Amino acid sequence: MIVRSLVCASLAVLVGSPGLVAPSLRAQVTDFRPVTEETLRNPAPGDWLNFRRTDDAWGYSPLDEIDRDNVGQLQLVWSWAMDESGAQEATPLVYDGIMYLPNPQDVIQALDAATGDLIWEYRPERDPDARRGGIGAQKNIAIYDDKIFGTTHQAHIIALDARTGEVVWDTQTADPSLGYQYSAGPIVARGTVIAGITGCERYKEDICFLTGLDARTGEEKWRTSSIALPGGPGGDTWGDLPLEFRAGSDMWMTGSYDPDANLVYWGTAQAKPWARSVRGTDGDALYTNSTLAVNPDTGELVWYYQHLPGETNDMDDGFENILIDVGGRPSLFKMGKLAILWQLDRETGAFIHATDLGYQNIVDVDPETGEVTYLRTPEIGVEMTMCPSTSGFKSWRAMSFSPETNALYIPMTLNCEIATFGPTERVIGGGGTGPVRRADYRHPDAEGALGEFHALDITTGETLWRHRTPTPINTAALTTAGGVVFVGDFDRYVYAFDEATGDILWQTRLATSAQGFPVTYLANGKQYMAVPAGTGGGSWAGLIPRELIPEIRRPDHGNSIYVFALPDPR
Amino acid sequence: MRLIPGPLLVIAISLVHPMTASGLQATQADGQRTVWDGVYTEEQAERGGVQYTESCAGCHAPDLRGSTTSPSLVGMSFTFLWGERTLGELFGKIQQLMPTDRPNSLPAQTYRNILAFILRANSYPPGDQGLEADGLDQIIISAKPEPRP
Ligand code: HEC
Repeated sequence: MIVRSLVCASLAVLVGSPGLVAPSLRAQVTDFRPVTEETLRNPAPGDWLNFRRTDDAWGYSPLDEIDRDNVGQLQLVWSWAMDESGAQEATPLVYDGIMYLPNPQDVIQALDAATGDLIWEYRPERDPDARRGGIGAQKNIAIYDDKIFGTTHQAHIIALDARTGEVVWDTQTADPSLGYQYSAGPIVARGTVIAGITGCERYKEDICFLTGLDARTGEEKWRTSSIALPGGPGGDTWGDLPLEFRAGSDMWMTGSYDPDANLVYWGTAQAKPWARSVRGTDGDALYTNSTLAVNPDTGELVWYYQHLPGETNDMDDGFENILIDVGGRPSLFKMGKLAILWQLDRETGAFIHATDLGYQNIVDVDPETGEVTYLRTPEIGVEMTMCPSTSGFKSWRAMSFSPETNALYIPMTLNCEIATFGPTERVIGGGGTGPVRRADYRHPDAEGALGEFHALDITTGETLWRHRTPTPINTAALTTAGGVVFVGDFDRYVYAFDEATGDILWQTRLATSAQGFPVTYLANGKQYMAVPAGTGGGSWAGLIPRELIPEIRRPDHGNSIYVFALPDPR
Repeated sequence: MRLIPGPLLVIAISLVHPMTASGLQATQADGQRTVWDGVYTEEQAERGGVQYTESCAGCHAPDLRGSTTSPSLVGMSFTFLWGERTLGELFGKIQQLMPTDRPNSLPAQTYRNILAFILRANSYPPGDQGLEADGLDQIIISAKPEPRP
C-alpha cells in the first residue's frame, strides 16, 4: 500500500502516481474554464467557490430568486446517497453548474448540479488496516485553476484534475500512524494551497502545523507550527515542558483570507490534555485556542490573538473566521464553544469587543479589554459542573452573516455537564485529551430545548430573534439575499426562516439528521439550495441527543445530499 | 437481590482468591470476582482485537490510547474512568453508546469480545472461561490484584 511505504517524516510528492487511485468513471466535465485568482476572490453570484462561498466566510449568497414570498414552494429536485464509512460534514462546491462533493473517507465526486448525474468520482483505494469507524469527515475542498484540492484522513493533500477526477499530485505532509489526519480541507490563496492538520493530541516528537503547498506541483513552500517552541517566541508559556509534551492546537476548520491585507486567518484548538492540572502547566500555552494571521506566500505568523489563555475546560475557539468591516474597521468575528463572540481588528489582531451570549458559566470576559478570568477550573479527580459541557454551545456548524440585517445567524446546542477530569501518562504515545467522567444535563435557561438558532446583531450585540428546537441545530447556517436563512436540525428538519423576524417560511424533513454545510447556487440560470444530511462525528450528533433526549430517534446512517428548487413555471 | 446462575456461581467462588481485607469479604459472599481472576480467554481477546479495529480504532486509535475526541481505553485513563466499577456497567455503556455513530449496532457477543480485548490491553490476565452474557455485573474492575495472604 502506497500510503504506508512512504517515508513519513519528510515531505513526499507523488506526481500522477498510478495505482493510488482508481477513478471508476472516466466521463469529463466539458468546457471547463480554469478558475483564476480573480474569479476565486470574486466568485460569480451563482457559484459557491470557497468553503463559505467567499474568502470572508460569510456563508452568504447574493442570489434572490428564492425569497421570502416564494420559499414556501420549494420542492425536492434530486438527492444523492453519499459514502457511509465516515462522518458527514460536507460542503459542496459549485462552479459553472457542476457540484464537487466531498464525501467521508476522502471520496470526491463531480455531479451535474441541476440533475444530480454523476460525472466523475475519485475513490482512493482503502488501506485495510487504516483507522476506521467515525473518522473520515471531509468538511471542505478547494478549487483553483483546473484542479480540485482535498485533504485526507491519512494526512495527504491531493490535487485532482477538475475535468476528470484524475490525481495530478499527492503530497503526504505527516505520518498518520502518529495520529495525524485532516478533517478540514484547504483554501487556495495566490497559488498556494493552505491546510491545517489535526490529530496533534498525543505526545510525540512532533507538533501541529499549517502548511502551504504550490498549487501546481504539490511541493511544500512553508510550514508554520501552531505551538510555541521551547526557547522560541512565546516558548515559556508552556512552562518547562519539552516539545514532545506540548500537544493540541489542532486546526479542524479551514481558514479565511483577506486579499487586501494578504493574510489568511486560522483558528487553533485548545492545548492537550484539556485540563491545566493534567497537562502540567498553568501557562498560556501559545498558540493554542488562538486566531493566527499568516502570510499565505511565506507562512510568516504576522499576528495572533489568544482567546482563552491557558484554556482548561475543553472550550475551543478553533472555528470559522468571519471577516466583516464594521464602521470602516476591518474586523474578524469568531465564536467558540463558550458562545462568546469575539471581534478583532483583522489587520493588527487588536481586540475590539467581546459579546457573551450569557449561557456559559466558566469565565468572566471583560467586553472592553477581552481579559478572561476563570470562574472554574478542573482539578484531577474533583467533580465540577460547567455550562457548556465539553460539547460546547457552538461547534463546526458555521454561522452566516447577512449584510441586510447586519446579523450573524448562529447554530447552537445548549447543555451543561457534571465533569470529573482525570490524569494521563506523560510519556511518548500518551497524553491525549485526558479522561473525563461526565454526565450531561439540560441548560437551566433553555426551557427544555437542546437546539437554538440565534440571530445576533453584530453592532448592537442585541439578539434579533432566536428559535429553539428540541434537538441540536445540526447544520451550518446559510443566508441569502432573498431574505431567507436556512438551517437544519438533528431531528431531520430543514427550515427556511425570514432573516428579519425568525418566522418559519418553509420546512421539510429528511431521511436522517440534517448535517453539514448547506449551499445555494445557479445551474442553467435557476437557483437551487443543497443541504447535506447524515450522521457521525462529534457529540452534538451523538452523545448529547442520545443522553438528553433519547426518545427522539433518527436512523444512524444515511449520508446524503438533498437539492431543492422552486417549481418551474408552467 | 440478583440471581446468579448456578454454574457461574460455582466458577465464581472457585476463582475468588482468599482475601484479607475485611471490606472485600462481603463482595466475596455476593460471588464477585475481579478482572485479575482470568475472566476472559486469549482467543476471545484475539477475536475482539479484529472487531475493535473494525469498529472502534477509528476514534480510540489502534493502540487504544484515544484521539482528539475519544478517551484512552488503557492505562491511567481507563483506571480513572472505570476503576472499582463493574464489567457489567462498562459493557452496558459500550453497547448503548459505542460506536458513537452506530450505537448498539454490533451483536452482544462482539461487544463482549471487544471487552475482552480491552481487558487484555490493560494487562489483566486471561483465563479458561470467556466473558459471558451473565455475570458481568459480578466482576469488579479493580486497579490492582487483591492482596494475598
Ligand atoms: C465515532 C467515534 C467513536 C467510535 C467509533 C467509538 N467511540 Fe468510544 N467514545 C467516543 C467518544 C467521543 C467518547 C467520549 C464519550 C464521553 O465522554 O461520554 C467515547 C467513550 C468511550 C468509552 C468510555 C465511556 C465513559 O464514559 O467512560 C468507552 C469504554 C468506549 N468509548 C469504548 C468504545 C468501543 C468499545 C468502541 C467500538 C465498539 C468505540 N468506543 C467506538 C467515540 C467513539
